[in-house]
Amino acid sequence: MKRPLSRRAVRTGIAGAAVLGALAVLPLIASPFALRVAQTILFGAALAIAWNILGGFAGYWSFGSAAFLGLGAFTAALMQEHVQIADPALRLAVALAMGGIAASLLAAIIGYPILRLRGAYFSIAMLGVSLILAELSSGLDVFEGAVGVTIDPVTAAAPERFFFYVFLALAVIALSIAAAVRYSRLGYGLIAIREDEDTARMLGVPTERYKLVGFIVSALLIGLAGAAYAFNLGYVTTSSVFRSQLSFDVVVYALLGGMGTLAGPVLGAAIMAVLNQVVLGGLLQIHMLMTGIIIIALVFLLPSGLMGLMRGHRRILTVVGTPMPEERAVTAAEQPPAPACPQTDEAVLKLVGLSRQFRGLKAIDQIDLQLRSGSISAIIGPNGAGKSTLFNLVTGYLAPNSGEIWYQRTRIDGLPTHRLSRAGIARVFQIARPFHGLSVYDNVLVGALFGRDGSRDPHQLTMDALALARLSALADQPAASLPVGHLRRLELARALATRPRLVLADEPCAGLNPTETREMMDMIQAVRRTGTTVFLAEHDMQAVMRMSDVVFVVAAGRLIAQGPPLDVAHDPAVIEAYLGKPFELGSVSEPVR
Amino acid sequence: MLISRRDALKTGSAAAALLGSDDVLASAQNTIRLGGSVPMSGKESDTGLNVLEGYKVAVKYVNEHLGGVKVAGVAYKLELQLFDDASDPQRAVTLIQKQLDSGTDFFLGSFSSAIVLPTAALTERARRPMVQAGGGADQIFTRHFRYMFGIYPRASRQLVTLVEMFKSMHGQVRTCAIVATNDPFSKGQADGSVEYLRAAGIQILNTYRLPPTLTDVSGVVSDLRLRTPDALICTTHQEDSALVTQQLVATGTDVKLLFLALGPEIPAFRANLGKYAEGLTFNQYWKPTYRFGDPFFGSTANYYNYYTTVTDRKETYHTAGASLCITCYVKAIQDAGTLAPDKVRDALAALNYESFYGQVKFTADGDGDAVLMGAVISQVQPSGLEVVFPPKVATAQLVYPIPNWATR
Amino acid sequence: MLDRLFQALVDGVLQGSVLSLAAVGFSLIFGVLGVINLSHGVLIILGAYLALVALRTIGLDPLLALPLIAAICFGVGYLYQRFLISPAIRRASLLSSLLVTYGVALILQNLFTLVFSADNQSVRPDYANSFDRFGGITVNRLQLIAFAISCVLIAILAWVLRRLPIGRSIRATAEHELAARLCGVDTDQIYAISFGLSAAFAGAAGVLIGMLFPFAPSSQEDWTIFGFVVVVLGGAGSAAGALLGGLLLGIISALTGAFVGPAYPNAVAFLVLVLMLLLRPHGLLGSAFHGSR
Repeated sequence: MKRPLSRRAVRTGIAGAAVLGALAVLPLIASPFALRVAQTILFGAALAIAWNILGGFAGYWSFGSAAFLGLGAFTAALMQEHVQIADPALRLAVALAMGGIAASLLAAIIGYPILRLRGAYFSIAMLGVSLILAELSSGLDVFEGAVGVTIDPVTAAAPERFFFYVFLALAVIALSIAAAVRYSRLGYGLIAIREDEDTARMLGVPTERYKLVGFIVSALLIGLAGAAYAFNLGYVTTSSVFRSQLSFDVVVYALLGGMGTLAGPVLGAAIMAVLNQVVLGGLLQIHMLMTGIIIIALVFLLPSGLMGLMRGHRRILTVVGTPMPEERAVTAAEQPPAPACPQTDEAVLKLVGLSRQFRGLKAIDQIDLQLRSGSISAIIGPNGAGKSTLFNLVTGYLAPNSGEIWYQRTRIDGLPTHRLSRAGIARVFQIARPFHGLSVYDNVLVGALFGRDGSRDPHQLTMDALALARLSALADQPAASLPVGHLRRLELARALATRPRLVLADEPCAGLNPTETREMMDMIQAVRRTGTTVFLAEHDMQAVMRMSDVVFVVAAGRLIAQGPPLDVAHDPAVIEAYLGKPFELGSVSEPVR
Repeated sequence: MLISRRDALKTGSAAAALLGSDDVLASAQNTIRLGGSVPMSGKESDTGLNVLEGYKVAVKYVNEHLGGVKVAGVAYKLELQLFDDASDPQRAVTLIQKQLDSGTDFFLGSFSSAIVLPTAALTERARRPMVQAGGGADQIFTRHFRYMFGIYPRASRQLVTLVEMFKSMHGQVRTCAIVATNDPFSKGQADGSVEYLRAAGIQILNTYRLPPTLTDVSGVVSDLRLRTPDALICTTHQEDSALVTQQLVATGTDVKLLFLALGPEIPAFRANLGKYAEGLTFNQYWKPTYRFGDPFFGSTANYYNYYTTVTDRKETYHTAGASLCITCYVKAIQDAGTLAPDKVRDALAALNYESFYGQVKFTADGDGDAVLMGAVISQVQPSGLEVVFPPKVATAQLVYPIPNWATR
Repeated sequence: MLDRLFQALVDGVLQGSVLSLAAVGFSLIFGVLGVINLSHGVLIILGAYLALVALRTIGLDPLLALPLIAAICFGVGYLYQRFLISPAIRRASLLSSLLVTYGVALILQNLFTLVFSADNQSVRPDYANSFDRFGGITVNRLQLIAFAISCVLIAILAWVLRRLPIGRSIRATAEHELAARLCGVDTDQIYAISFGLSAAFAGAAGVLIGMLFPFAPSSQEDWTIFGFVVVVLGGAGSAAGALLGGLLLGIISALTGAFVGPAYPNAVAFLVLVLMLLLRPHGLLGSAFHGSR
C-alpha cells in the first residue's frame, strides 16, 4: 500500500521516453502524408489534453474551446503581420507566446464569473463566449477575420516535418503539464471538485482558485495550439478557426478516449484523426456520415472510453508520492497553539448575537453560545429550529446578517469554507456525501491532503483516520458500494483526516440501527479523546444525553436553554417547546465519559 | 429533387470508382492524374458539387471523344482523383499531401478561399500546378504563387462590369446600397467595388454587413424601406441572397435593380423564388449561348450539348469554370509537349486562346484577367437568363426598373 | 425613428415566436431527461424537408401538412429515444447521450445532403409574400400566421404539461425519477414520449422555418445553437420559459440589427446569453426540472 508509485512511475517514464524517442525520429522514415496525419493527431491531442484538465479532472465541460483556439490563432496571425520580426524562428516563437497569453488572459478575465456556473450551464456559457468571439472576429475590422489574415512561411524546411515537431512539442508540453497537475494537490483538488464541489470545499479545497487555475492553464495550452494551427495553415479566417465543430470535436476526443485520464484524450484524438484522414479519407460524400455511425458504435462498444478497457476498479487518485509540501504558509492568526490538554476552559467556538434571515423569516435569531475546547456539545431542537442553518453559518456556507463568529481567537464569519477547513473546522453532513467515483481510501485522502496542517504524511493521516472509523479493510472499495452505516463512518473518517480542532456533525446517527448508533457514538468519543471538540446536531435523545457535556436547545431560531444534559432535560421551556415531557434516561444516570 | 437524388447516387458510384482507382501503379503508365479536393459534404457542398460536376464532364469528354491527351505521340487518359474535404482545411491539406506523396503532378482547386489558400501553398511549395475555379479572395493572388491559376478574377475586381453598366445608364442609377457577408469572397468584392462606385459618381447610401452564420435580415430590409437606393448590390452567397430577396418580397420593399453576386445562376434558387426571380441581375461568367470557338469542344454550344447529355445536374458558371480548368490543363500540356510540371506551369501562364468559356488569359498573379475573363451582367427575364451588359455580347435589354413585387 | 423602433419590435416578436417553437423541444428534453440534444437542429431541418416533399410530390400546402409532419416526427423522436438514446445512457452514462446525438446529427445532415442535395431550398406558397402596412410598419402575413401557430402550439404544450395526466407524469418524472417510478409511472415510456413531443415540436417548427428561411442540411447547426440560447434565456423545461426566451432572442436580434448593425445580432444575443447566465443562472422563469439544475 505504501508508495508503489516509484515503480509505476519508472515504468511509465521508460515507456514515455520510448514513445517520444520513436516519435522524434518518425520524420526520418515516415512519408509526408503520415506526418500530416501525425500532426493532426498531435494537434487534436494537445487540444483534448488541455480541455481534459478542466473538463476531465474538474468536471467542467467547456463547449467553447474554439474561443481560445481562435483567439490564439488570430493573435498570432495579427502579431506576425503587424510586428515586424526579421528572424522567422523568433517571429514564430513570439507569435505563439502571444497567442497563448491572449487566450489565458481571456480565461483569467472571464474565469471567475463563468466558473460559478455549474454543469450544462457552464458548457453553454462557454459556447456563447466562443460564438461572441467568432462574430466579433469577422465583424470588427481590427481582426480582419472576414477577409482573413495570411501568414508568411517561417521555415525553409519541409513544413510537414517542421510543424510535426512543433505540434509534438506542444503535445508533450500539454501532457507533461496535465500529468504534473494530475499528481499534484491541484489535481486531487480538481478531481474532488468533479466528484462533489460542496464537499470538496468543506474538506479544504480552495475550489474557486483551483478551478480558475485549471481554466487558465487549459486556455493557455489551447491558445498555443491555435497559434501553431494558424502558422501551419498559413491563412486564418473566422470560419477556419472559430468553428464550433472544433469545440465539439475536442469533447468527442476526450469522451472516446476516456474522460479524466491522461492518455485518454490522446487515444481519442488518434482514433478520430485516423478515421477521418486515413480510413475514411478516400470516401467521398459519406465520410462524415460514417464518422457519425462509428461514434455511436463506439459509445456502445466502449461505454467508458478506450481507457475504460484497460482500467479496473483501481483507486483513481492512486498514491501520493513524497509528502505534500505545505502549499502556503498558514498565517499566524490561523495557527493557534495546539491544545495543551483536552477540556480546557478556552472557548473553541463563540457565537455572539448571531442572526440570519431568509426573506424575513428569522432562521437564526440573536444566538450567543460558546463551546469549550475538548468538549462534546449537542444542539437539539424541533425540525426547522435552525440547527442546520447554524452549522452552515459556522462552516461558511452562509454569511450571517448580523453577529459575530469567533473560532479560537479569530473572527471567522464571512471567511470562505475552505479556509475554515484549513484552520481546523470540519463537518459531517446530515446526508452522507461521499465522492461516489472514488475509492474509500481516496475519499479520505482528499481530506488529508487539504485539511489543517498539510505537512504530515497524508498517507499516514488517511490510514489513521480509516483505522479510527474501522474502515481499513474496505480502503480499496469504491465508495459507491458502501452501505449507509459505512458511509457515515466514511464521512467521519474524511472529516478526521483534515485533522480538525472542531468537528460539526449534523445528525451522525440519523437512519442508523441501534448497533450502528452505538458504534458511531464510540467513534465520536474516540474523536474527542484526541483533543478535538465535537459539536453535534442530533435528534436521538439517548445519544445526546449519554455523550454530551453541554446541550443547547434552539426553537424557532432562538436559543431557549443551555447547560448539562440533565438540567436541560428538565427545563420547563424545553419540555414545552421540544420534548413534550421530561426526558428519562432509564438505567444510565451519568453521561458517559 | 428526384434529379438531385439520382445525381447523388451517381456521385456515390463515382466515389466507388474513385476508391477502386487508388491502385496507382497499375495505371500510372498512360494516365495523367488530376488531384485535389472539393467540398462534397458540409456547408460549402452546394457549389462544391457543381465544381465537381464540371471537372467530371470535361474529363469524360477528353477521354472518350479526344482519346485523351497526346504528349510526344503517346496518348494519356485523364484521371480525376478528388476527395471530399468537407470544408475542413486541415483535412484538405493532409489529403493533398497524400496525393503529392504518391506522385500526382497536377491539381485542381477546391471551393472557398479558406481551403484553396492553404492547399495552394502546399502545391506551390512542391512546384506542382493548381488550376482552380473556387477561390476568389484577394489574399490568394497577392502571395505571388507562381503555380496557381484561378479562372475567376480576384474578388475585389469582380464588380467592375457591374459598375461599368451603371456608368452606361446615364445617371439612372444614382444611389446604391451594398449587402455583404463577412467572409473573404463576399467582403472582398464589396470592399473592392467601393472604389469603382465612387469613381463612377454613385452614392453608396449604406453598406450592410451580415454575419457568416444564418441571421434574420428584417432590420436591413426595414432600413432599405426608409432609405431606398436605386440599386441594391448583394455580394452574398446563395443562402443570404435568397433570404434578402425573400424578405424584400415579403415586405413589399422595392428597389429598381437587385444585384446578387451568387444565387440566380442556380436553377434551384430561381425555382424557389418563382416569379419573384424575374428581374434579378447577377454576375454571369459564362452562358451556354456564347458563340465562342474552342479547340476541344469546337464551340460553346457543343460544350453545352455535351454537358446536358452526360449529366442531369443543371449547368452554372461554376460547372463551366471547372470544365475550363480541365481544358486549360490539356491545352497547356499540349503546348508544352511534355508532362514536366515546370513546363506545364509555364504553358499555363502563357495561355491566351479562345475557349468555349471565352478568351483565356491569366494575370501575372494567377487570377483570371478581369476584362477577358471577368463577368458579364445577366438578368433573369421571362425568356430565360439574358446577358444585358456589355452591349457587345448582350442578348437583351436590361429591364430597369424591375416591376414591383406586389404587381407580379 | 419611432417607426424603426416599432418595426424592429414587431419583427422581433414575430421572429421570436418561431424561435420559441423551435427551441421548446430542446428545452423540454434538457429539463426532463437532462440530455443536451445536439441533434435537435437536424430534427427541425427534417421537418422542413418533409414539408418540401409534401409540397413537391402531392402538392400539399405546408401548413396543412404541419400536423402530419409533427406526428411523423413524434414517432421518429419516440423511437430515437427508445432504441438509441436510452440504451446508450443505460450502457454508458448520461453524458454519452452527447456523443450519440452528435453522431446522429452528423449522420442525418449527410443523409439529407445525399437525398436532397446540398442546395438551399425554401418552401414558399404564394401567400408567403403578401403583407399588410399599418402606418409605417410592414407586417408579412406568413410571419403573422407563423406567430399565431407558434403561440397556439406552445400554449397546447403548456396545457398538456399542466393539465393532462401524461403531462403530470412528465413533470413528476422530471422532478424525481425514482419517486415517480414508485408511484407507478412507467418512466421509460415517459422519457420516450417526452422525446417524441420534443421532436414533434421541432418538426412543426421546421415546417414554419422552411417557409420563412432558406435552408440546407448544414443549417441544422445554427438551429441547435438557437436552442441553447432560448433555454438559457427562458429557463429549461417550461413552455412559458421557451416562449419568453424565444421572444427575447427575437427582440434582441431585431433591435441590434436595426440600431447597432446587421452584423451583430448574434454576437449581442450570445452576450446577453452569457450575462444572463451569470446573473440569473436558471433563466428568467427559473428552471422547472432537475436535469437542468
